[in-house]
Amino acid sequence: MTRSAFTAAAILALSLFSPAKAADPEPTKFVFGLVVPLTGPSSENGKSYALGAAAGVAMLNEMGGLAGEKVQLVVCDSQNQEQQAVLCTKRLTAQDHARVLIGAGSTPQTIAISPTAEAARVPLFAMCGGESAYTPVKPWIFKGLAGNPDQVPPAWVLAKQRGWKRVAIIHDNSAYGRDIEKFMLREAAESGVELVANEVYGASDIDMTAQVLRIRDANPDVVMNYALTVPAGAAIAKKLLQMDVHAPNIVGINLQNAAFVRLAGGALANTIFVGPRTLLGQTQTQAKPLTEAEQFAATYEKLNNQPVPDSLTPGPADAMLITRAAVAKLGKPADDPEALRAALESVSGVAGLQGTWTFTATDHGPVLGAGITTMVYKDGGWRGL
Amino acid sequence: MGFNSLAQTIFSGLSNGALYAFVALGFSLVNRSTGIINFAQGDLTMLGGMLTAVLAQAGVPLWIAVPVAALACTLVGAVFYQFAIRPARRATMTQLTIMTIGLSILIRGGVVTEWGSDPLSVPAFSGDSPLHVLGISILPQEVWLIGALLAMLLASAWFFQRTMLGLALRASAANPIGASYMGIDPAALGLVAFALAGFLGGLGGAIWSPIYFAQVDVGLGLGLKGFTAAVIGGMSTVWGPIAGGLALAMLEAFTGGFISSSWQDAVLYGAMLVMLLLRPQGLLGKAKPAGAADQEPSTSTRVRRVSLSGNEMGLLGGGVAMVALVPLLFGDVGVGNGIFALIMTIVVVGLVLITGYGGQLALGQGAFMMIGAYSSGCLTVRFGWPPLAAMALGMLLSVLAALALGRVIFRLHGYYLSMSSLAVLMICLTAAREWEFTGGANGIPGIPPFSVGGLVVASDAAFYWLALACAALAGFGALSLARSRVGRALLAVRSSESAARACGVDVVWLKSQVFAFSAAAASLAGSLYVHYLGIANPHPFGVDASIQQITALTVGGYMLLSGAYVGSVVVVALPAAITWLAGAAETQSVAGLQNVCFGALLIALIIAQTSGKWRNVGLPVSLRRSLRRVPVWRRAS
Repeated sequence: MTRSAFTAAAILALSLFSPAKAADPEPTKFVFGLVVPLTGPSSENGKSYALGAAAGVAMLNEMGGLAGEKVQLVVCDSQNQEQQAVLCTKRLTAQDHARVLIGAGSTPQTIAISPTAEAARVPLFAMCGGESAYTPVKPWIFKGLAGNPDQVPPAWVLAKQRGWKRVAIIHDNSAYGRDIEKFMLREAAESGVELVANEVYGASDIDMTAQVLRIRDANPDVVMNYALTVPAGAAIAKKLLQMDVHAPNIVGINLQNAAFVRLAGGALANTIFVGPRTLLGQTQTQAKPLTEAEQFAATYEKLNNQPVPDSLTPGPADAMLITRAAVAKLGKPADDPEALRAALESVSGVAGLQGTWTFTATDHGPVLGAGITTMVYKDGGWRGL
Repeated sequence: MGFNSLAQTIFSGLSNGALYAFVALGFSLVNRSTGIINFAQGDLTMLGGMLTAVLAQAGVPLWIAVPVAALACTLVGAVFYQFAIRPARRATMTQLTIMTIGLSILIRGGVVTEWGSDPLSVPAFSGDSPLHVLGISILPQEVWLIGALLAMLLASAWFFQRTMLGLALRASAANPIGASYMGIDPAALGLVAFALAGFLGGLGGAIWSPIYFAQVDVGLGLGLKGFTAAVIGGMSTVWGPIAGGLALAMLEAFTGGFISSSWQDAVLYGAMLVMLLLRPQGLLGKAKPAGAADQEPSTSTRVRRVSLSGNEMGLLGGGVAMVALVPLLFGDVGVGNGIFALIMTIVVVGLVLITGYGGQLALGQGAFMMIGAYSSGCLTVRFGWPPLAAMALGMLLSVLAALALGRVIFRLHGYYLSMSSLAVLMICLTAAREWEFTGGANGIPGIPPFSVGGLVVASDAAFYWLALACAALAGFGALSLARSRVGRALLAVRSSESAARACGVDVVWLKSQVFAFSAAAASLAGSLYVHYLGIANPHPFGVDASIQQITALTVGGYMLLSGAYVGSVVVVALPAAITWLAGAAETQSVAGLQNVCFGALLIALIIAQTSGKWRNVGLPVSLRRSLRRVPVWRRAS
């Protein structure tokens, strides 16, 4: 009785478990695997990473590839789910033979894919805000994105410069929001500035009136609105204005993008963004030209007919520039994973788009410091303060 | 909080309450007329907003875009009823409710495929500048929303009291059999109810979207809030959902304003749970007369024989042997897919018993998965417990929680398990996210690989064998239970609860036992999941996971334990298969297409299983034939 059933089930299992029709990369190519959410609540961020990675690959190929090898990008949509992110990582390492991974768009998902990357012996550049993805040091995991330790201080530096004494912070209850809160509280304690409100909302909430009212009642000089998703951040910015809170609204790296500009409406004029200094065409020292940043900007503009739009786009490109420096150290094609990992661990002073990168055996998450700054959106582009 | 802020909080509650009332009214209309919980109501609301945004961006004036969006949603509701619900003549209420989950997934997939998942701004009807009245800041669009709800109220009052159709709907809701004797066609009323629910959703979404944004991701959340509002207010009257929507929004606003925004969800769903236990008919609902039992109205699964033959044992055994070949035949990706499919299988095996055999739609198995996941995470990482002991304790805690919960909720009937389990899941999610002991939203990283004694299950292949052993154990355990006195009593209860009760079956204790088994299985799956990923956080155990499990159950067959694996494989691997068919291009439209396929598959399978016409559509024909050979699947003529 069961023969036909098993035949059908076997055909189903065979068809679904069989390796995907991966575009088998030629062996001479160096494959970067990108795992990011292209769908789901953080898809805006995922698309920024994907566009940045595509421009980064084009840039590396324009620079002559990696030790003579052409560079290729394979992207996999994590759908903002841990399970899917892990399956993507397996596919990229096992089928697409990725030699370096970049992902996964959130701290828990980056932690979830780390064991798979480690087991496959493929270096992973963490695209997330939380330090816990690469601290304490894991041999195969490296920081790749300006994280929460980088994006929180510029807001407080600005507050100090402008003499804002009463600070309100608002964030969601996601892993990102809680991590931001930790750094905000640390900065508040160190700076001696009065934290007059610390508001939290649900990551899927659609109304933040209660939180904004408490902020209004606290009468802050500045509001630090570090939302995870663009709709939530834009809704808070608009709600602040509606409730007559005219204090400057500083938003985090996640919101420094075209979508926020499009959705914020009248609140845009009151918003200060945190993002990489290179988006302003500045170097960290304001002295020497940053060749790679300029080249990346030119490549991105050529591919997308617009300038680099946001803070997340340069993340994957920095991972690629760091890899380029490591391969240059090796002086040969990076076909030995352990050699590549060791070379990555010893790169020093790599001028990236978000800052200067130096990894050591005991530090895979350097603070980028002067690479991140504050800016506004004016006259159709990002402008320094 | 000063007077102004208090007044502002109240107005904010009113404004949000109007939105929730729109969604809740849709739930109530469909439920009163057909008995179905329409889980697509939130997505119909989202669709209304998206259509308005897209039309407005295309230059269509708002006074045309809004009615067009509302009418399009009306059409979606009507078409769904006519071509999905109506043909599924032999479907149980649980199956019909699952079909609405299919519609919800289908709408989301269609929106992502067509317009992407980016949020869209929608122009306000009469400007963005807030009005200031008595110190309250009011957006003109909020006035539109509240005004529209009032207009709907008046229209509803007129419709239900002055029109033949409205009177027929009320008559059918009060006494469906009596109404049909009077010549009222229940199918026509179902069509009207679904169309009206679509209209309400579309209109509410179109008017609300300028206040926030039009975005595909809001549908699920709106649906849950609307459902909760309908339960709190009561579904049996027009005023109940409106009162529920306002009460829910006020509770939300005041919890956020005076207690804590972090625990807002726990308070809301806790209120729903309390309402279910103390006043199941809702604030304004009418209690059923004493002795009037809830029966599944269209249940036709009358079971001729209640004992299982050895066929299913053979299917299970053969299935285990077949999937054991996966690591030998396929690479890492196949094994990875297989591990997740096996973990899901363990949960779905529990669902086969509670939903398939017990006829109770359980939407909160994620809560028990979380108990298992966090027991393993906390005890191994924080206290150095051996993984096996932590896993066992998690299962024990889940069993105790399920028994305690079951004793209370199984005293109620109908869709109360769905609502209660959903509420428990939402409370658990909030607790895990906010409690420091569970690591908050970041979760607990660094969970070690599973090990027994000195044997560490470190590699993927080894973990696959472990998951397979656990799935087989759960499957054979469930089979033994199904073949025991408990299983036979469950089938009797499913056919006629009153008759089973009259024969001396303790229905509450019976369902509690099965619920406890399914909780233990879910807990085992949760433990395995976090040992495999190395991190326990709330995100993977939410409502989305429950929907995937229900999809797997439907694909595999409600009463077929061996089908649990087939269903799980399809759910886990279908995304990869669709990507493969679409040419490996990882774009949003492919992701949208995956949801379209899932939704369409759910709807088509239920129609195929229950229409009596499409007998050869759905799962592979051969599998269906084999189902017919399992005696329990046969129906009386």
